[in-house]
Amino acid sequence: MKKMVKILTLRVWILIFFIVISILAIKPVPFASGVEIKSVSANSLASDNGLSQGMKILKVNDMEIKTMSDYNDAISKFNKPPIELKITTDKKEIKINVTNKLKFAFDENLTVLRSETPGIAQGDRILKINNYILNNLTDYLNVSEDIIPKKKISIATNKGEVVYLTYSHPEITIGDVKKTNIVKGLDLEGGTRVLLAPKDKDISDSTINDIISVLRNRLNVYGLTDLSIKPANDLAGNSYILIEIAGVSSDEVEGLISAQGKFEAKIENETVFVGSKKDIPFVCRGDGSCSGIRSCGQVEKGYQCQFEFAIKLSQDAAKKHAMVTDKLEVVLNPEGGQRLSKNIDFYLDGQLVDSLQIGADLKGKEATDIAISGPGFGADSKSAQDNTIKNMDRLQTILITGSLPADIEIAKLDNISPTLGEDFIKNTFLVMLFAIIATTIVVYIRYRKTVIIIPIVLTMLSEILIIFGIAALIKWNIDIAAIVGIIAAVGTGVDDQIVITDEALYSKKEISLNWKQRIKRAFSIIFTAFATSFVSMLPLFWAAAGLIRGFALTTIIGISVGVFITRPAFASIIEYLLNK
Amino acid sequence: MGIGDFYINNLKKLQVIPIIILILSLSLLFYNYSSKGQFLEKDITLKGGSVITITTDKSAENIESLLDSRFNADFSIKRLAEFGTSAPKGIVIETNLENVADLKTTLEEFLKIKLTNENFSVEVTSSSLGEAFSSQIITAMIAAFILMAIVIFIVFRVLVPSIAVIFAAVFDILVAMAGMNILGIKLSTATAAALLLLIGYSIDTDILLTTKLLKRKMDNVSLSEKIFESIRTGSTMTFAALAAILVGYIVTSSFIMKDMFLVIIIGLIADLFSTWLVNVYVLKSYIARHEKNG
Repeated sequence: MKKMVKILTLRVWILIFFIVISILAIKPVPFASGVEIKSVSANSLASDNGLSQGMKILKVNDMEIKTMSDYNDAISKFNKPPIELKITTDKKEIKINVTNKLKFAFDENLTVLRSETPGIAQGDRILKINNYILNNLTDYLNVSEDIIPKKKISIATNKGEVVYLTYSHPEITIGDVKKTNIVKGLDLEGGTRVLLAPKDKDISDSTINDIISVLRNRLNVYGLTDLSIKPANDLAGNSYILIEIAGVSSDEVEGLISAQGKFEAKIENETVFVGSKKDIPFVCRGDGSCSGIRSCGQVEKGYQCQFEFAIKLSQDAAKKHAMVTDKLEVVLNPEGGQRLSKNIDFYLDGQLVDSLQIGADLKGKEATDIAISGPGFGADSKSAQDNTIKNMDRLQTILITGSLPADIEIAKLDNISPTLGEDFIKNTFLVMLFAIIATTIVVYIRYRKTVIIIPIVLTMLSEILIIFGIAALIKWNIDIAAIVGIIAAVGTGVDDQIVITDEALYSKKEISLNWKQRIKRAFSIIFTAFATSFVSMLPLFWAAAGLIRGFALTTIIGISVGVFITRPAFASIIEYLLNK
Repeated sequence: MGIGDFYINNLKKLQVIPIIILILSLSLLFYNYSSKGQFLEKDITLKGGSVITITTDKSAENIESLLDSRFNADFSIKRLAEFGTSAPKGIVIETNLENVADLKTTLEEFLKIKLTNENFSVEVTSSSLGEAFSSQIITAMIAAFILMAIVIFIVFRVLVPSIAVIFAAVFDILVAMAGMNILGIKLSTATAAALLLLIGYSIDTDILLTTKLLKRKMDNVSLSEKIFESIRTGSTMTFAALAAILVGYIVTSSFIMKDMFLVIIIGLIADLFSTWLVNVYVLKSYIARHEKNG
């Protein structure tokens, strides 16, 4: 009993305290399984119906979900085969395939306003779809559910079940339920890392912050909420913006991030309106009735689809529209009907997105309801549709969130697959385990005393635990470089314990010094070694835009934990064990 | 203690070993500098380009010649294997291309697999960023060195022994760089970080030695005994670290980790020479001269 009191010195209590705190911070749930919602697109059917971040998905349409692939299977069952529709117009009868929406737009009287579906032209009148005879829009709306049925989706979560009707997949991203609070770095987790550099080197901090807030808004509107975006500086005074998005591939976000997002609608080089809240107070997004793919067809070398979505113009912009269109002439359309002599052209960052004919009835009119359109291409019809949707999503997002206050370029773009990350994690456990075993063997060969080996190994393990605990506490990412840092720090830790042990063992020969003096000597070596390692890691905080800060910080945390927490406790324990 | 006596008595002659190592390392580095304009070849992270990792069980032989024939660019290919079974697990392609769209299509045709977010990773660094990083890495190394030297001077407060410790760090880094050259390890942000770590880490044993020999009043212990005591402790330290890192090098499947570990291994081995030959000799002569003088 007396011995127990003696071994539990204040220094050992401090170590125990940190171990407990670390376990609480890491909060391990090793047997947790299943998938959870990582993010939900803003203003989507999924969010409107109550799905939110952090919910654990139990079932999708009565299929049990245990893994990511279960979810993907369940969702792929939700995919509908294209439906063949027979469409009769006043000109001819054609058959088309659709997956979720008709790809042409028509007015009250079912006269086609706009279409690039082969066989259906502007001005045609729809008479029949399948066997439904249609006289006006109301007729169509009455049967539209029968022509292209919506599907019921039911998602059972740990916080209740969500059921709704939709044409498409739930607008959520999912991932495995997390087993600990340790945040994995991108190279272990999988995802996209983008380092953006402003084209103008002399950019102010406030402009950088403005860019960051627009980009964050863009990514959030796009449906990505699980992301980190922050300014980064380097030794040479360059400013960067570092964006890290877990579990997303770079081609999804590249265009969204790198585009400055200057949108202009021009008629004959005269700007009618631009992409800003002032000109465009409303953009239709995620609502199939005013946004979606309107037509698809075969073109040279593959397929092309056309998206279209509605926007509302402000009064000022509408006046400008009236003024510009008033100057145009009305000409006869070769396919029938009348149009204006010039097209309206949509530009994004100086590049032409689309060019549309303007109906003759819009001449001089203060039109507030405008449709924006653009194309998407692909090798097959499926990829053309996917790309079109992607282009549309991007343009809508950019119109909603506005343009960046300065032009930027992508300096570094990393896209790590989650599979690769998973492999690295498994491997990393092996690396740590084998490194500990190898060190233990060397120490054992040297001392051949279990009474010395056990505290050394325990100190090593508690050190690793505390490093992870601190990382979890301060939400520091553990990436591959950080793992090397941890191994190096633990290596230094063992070195220090060897110094202490030898000092303790050898000093038995040296009667002139007492225990305190011996330990003081050991610690003077340890502190000097600590100081040199510490300062040699410092410059890495600022070099290379902070990309290797993870390594530097983990190493510094590791050696600090060693010197200030575990080593004093170890000295205490060794003192107790050797003086017994 | 035959070897021990030989070692203590012939320290001066033994200096020839570290001197030869140093001369060879310096010649190699300067040869590189004169022929290629740089001491160390830089990798993608410091000169711009792309690293592609494909997870596949196909061994994809002939991929080098295919890529060389299709693209006007440099390629270097490494293969990932499962630890233990050596089953092929993936391919790592490094290239100076910054746009990999065409490359991806070519690889899809060649490997006959669809490259998706699940099996395809790519890291692209623009060349301007690479240049900026590369100059900063050098600044960081110099800064780390100066800071380390300041710490050493503050702690030991004597010129010659402090310089000996700093020299040991110089020696370790130079040999590590030469070793990188021989083993074909390029300078990257990761290997530069490993070199920086070495600056602080490799001199642990030198600090141990200097403290034990200079700062300790142990009248009943001879200098040789102090040296042997330091060697016992110091070599246990170095070998414990070497064992952990060597095993890590063998087990890890990450090329980044492999390179970092290898740099540290070379540095630690170099440190055995710089500490137990050079530094011991300098300190021994320093102490002898001091005792004579006063």
